Amino acid sequence: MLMSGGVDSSVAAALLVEQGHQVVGFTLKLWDAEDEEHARKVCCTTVMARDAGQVCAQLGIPHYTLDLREEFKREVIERFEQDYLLGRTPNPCVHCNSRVKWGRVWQKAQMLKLDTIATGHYAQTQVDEEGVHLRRGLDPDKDQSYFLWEVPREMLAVTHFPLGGMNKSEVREIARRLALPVAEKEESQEVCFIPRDDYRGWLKSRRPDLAEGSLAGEMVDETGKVLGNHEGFPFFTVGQRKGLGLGGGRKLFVTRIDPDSRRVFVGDEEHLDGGSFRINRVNLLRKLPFSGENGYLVKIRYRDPGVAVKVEWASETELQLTPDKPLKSVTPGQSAVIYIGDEVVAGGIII
Amino acid sequence: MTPIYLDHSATTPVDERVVVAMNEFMLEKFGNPSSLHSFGRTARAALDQARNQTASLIGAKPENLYFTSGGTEADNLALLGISKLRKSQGDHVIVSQIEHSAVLNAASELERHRFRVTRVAPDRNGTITPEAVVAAMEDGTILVSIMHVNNEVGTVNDITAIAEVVHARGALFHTDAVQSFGKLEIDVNAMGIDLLSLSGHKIYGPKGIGALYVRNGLEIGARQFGGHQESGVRPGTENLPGIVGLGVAAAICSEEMKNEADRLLELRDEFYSRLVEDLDDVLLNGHPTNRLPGNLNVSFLGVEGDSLLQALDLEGIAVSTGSACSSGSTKPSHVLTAIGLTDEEAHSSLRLTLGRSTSMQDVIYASRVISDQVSRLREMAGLTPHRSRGIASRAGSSAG
Repeated sequence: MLMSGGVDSSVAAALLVEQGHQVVGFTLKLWDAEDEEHARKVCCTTVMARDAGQVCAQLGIPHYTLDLREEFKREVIERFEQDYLLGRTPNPCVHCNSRVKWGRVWQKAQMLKLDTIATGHYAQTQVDEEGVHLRRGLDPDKDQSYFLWEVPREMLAVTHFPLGGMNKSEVREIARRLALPVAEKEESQEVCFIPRDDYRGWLKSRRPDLAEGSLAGEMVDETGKVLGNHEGFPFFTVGQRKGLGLGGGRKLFVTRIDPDSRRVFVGDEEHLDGGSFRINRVNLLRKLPFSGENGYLVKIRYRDPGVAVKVEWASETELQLTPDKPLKSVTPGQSAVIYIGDEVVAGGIII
Repeated sequence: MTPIYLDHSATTPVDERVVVAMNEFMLEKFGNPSSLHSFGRTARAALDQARNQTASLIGAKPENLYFTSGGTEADNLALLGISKLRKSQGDHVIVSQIEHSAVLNAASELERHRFRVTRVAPDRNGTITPEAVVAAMEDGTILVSIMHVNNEVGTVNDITAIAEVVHARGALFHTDAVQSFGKLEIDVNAMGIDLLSLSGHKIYGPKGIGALYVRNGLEIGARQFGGHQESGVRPGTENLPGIVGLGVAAAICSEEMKNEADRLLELRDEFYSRLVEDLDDVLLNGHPTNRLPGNLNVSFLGVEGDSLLQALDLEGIAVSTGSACSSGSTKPSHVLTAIGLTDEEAHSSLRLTLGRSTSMQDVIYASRVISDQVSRLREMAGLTPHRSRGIASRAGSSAG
């Protein structure tokens, strides 16, 4: 059981224990917090390991920490930085799951003769003769299947999400009933390793050259007219409206970032509407025909109801996605996740 | 089944005789030794008795013992308290690379106060030789601190010989005897020890109590300030239940130490021969013979120590990798690195420390479980290339 020290994974562990499973709690050490205040708010730090340890002690199960700082630095932190420097907007949580957490945790589980990985995600897995199915969590407000598209199928097949069929209020209720020490804890929504949710400040501190304007450039409108200057394109993301430094008047949005010319394009809201787009790094969770219209739905961000989409192979590694109606702010670097009904069938990175 | 505890160098269960004695000084004889009424007198008498009991186990006079909160405080008091007063005579201090972090970090604190510190390397067996100490001595050396027994690999140092070379150059000698106190014969006078740290919880006494021995006539600066207790060297109302517990634990050791050492030696050797009989590629870390009787530190090549510890924990066998303080971090133990182990060898090590509760049946059972788990983990390592990559990247030896 992966234990972040938060309410969800604590309750999930408690449920497994109640169901009579042999449960071993693991807290991942992914990075070092700069200060205690930051550490308390987010998962995967020493403070959270202590909280998770308390919960495990109360549940009477063993608890260990697994140090994945090197992998996390390489696969998540450095790629996160790199993506912004290439004008993309990354989804670090997705890659943390698929490239850091699942593989190493499964390896550890096997060493300890444990046969299932459990986490506190709001999602569901189900194994039948077709193999494993990854489905949305039942609570529509909490469903986290979007973050799990890149987890390899063979890993999902040994994964169990105890909270998949519950909603958040039930989970809080159970936490209170069991008097778990973390019952009233706030949720963390931010990118865990970025202090104060300020990725721009974080990038500047990692790359002093950025703060000095090494990637500064022009702000232009869709006609190519220069509207002003910016201090570095990595500080912008598609769809962004605030902080453009262009004064009042028209409501302008970032519509596109061109890292080669270092230009940040802005436009009116309708300029955000995108048509067909491609994804790469595709992970197929189901063997599907991907032709014509099979009731596919695409989500291009976590908080997104999804729209009907046509899916075709554009090349051996890329899928062409054509939504039925224009999508706002299709952002390179973000994940596009394809569903049929409540099942995740594939996902990839928007290019 | 009942778990088997093989981590006696981390801490020990408190002896029932100790608990009984301590209870009395919490429930009925709870007085403050400084009080002038009958409660105070009773407490004072117990304090004196415990000081006698503890001092006699190291051949010291009771008035030369200062009770502290444990080994760490005693080490800090020794290094910082002596150096502070002797600054005018020199600014150089010697410790070994394999000291407990209490000594190592107290030495680093001295560096922040403009002392120079030399950290002497051990030999391959974990021994600090007198020759190595001599080589590090300078005219300005005021204090040398070398542990009696290493807490990880159990190697015993020739304290008498080291003290002699230290005194020959006019410096003072401190030893951290936390791991040897109550287990090996110690005589501070015969061995020429000026200062010695000891602790209660490694000898079936309570946690939170220890003491520093300071040779008669040697002045030491206080680290904290308050009343007259412990001659003002370590003021604060005495932890009487703890002190009584330490005294009784010491008295029991003085009775049982010799027989217990013989028994543990036999169990330890049996444990090791069973492991090397069942498994290939088992490295013994530390000195082959000159080591603490209950200590076995071995590397099972090809196995990640953390995973082995966890697998054994789930089987009800409690062991440690390196010292408890360094668990949970991926840094290899500073002791194992200092005695020349590669990162991979250090990461595959396990420390098994036997004690009073350990029986021959425990040794037979635990050695079988360890062999099974090591074989299983090695088999898995052979099957999954990803794992060996993990080890390589931890060792920093490849791009991974």
